[in-house]
Amino acid sequence: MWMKEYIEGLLSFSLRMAVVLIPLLTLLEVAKERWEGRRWRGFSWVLSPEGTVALLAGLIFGILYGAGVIIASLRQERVKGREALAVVGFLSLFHAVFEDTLLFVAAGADPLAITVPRLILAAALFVLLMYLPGRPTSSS
Amino acid sequence: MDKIKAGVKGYLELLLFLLPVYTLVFFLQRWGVLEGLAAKAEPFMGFVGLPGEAALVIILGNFVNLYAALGAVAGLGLSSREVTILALMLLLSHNQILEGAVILRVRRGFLALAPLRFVVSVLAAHVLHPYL
Repeated sequence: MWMKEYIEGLLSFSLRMAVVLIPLLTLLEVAKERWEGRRWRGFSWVLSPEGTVALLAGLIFGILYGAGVIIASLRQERVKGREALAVVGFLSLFHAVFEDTLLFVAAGADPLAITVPRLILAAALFVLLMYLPGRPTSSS
Repeated sequence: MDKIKAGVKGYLELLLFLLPVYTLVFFLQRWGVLEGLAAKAEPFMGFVGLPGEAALVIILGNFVNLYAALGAVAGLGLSSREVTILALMLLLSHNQILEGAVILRVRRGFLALAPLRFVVSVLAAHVLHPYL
């Protein structure tokens, strides 16, 4: 009976997505409102305040929802090309930590197996782009 | 309350996107349309420890987005080990067109990161899939 299989798959899938997405999108909505004009110095040993804001925005909201903040922060004059590249490189491999990860956990993936390797790879790429000697990237 | 409404609305928007993909993939597989693609993709997909039809999920995830890929995962009915491998690959490399556009807007030269993501995703899955 394909009808039964189709509808069961549809319902269980829609339900699992609802459990993950509705609370998460609500929380992100709340968080985004409190985000405007923030500055972080917690990572000042490696990043400028602008770079830190871009990194956190990407980690929490993702590249698309965080695009406004990421682009605006990293295009500031004070952010060096190398720092911008390292932050974008890190984010390209590891972003939207809550939403993207939970979506796949809801679909049946192992949470540790999909998070730890990504974090390690992203951190390695960050270090590589930030500290490896090479030609400096032109600004804009 | 407003925020919850926005959350529900966001979910419904994504569902609208997910359901057609789920339906399409469900029937494509049922009618055997995917078998051709699966057979062609088999040798490449073996490199990352996945069955041939999972190629469709990788393609949808990279060119469209994660929701399209998730719809396809549900439509294909993959095992949780296969979902884990796919998740690892897709979380590293997805939505290349839209996210590439954002990366491009930061600095033009950064676009090289887009192909790099894909290469990293394939290598990561190749190395890690025996342990998953």
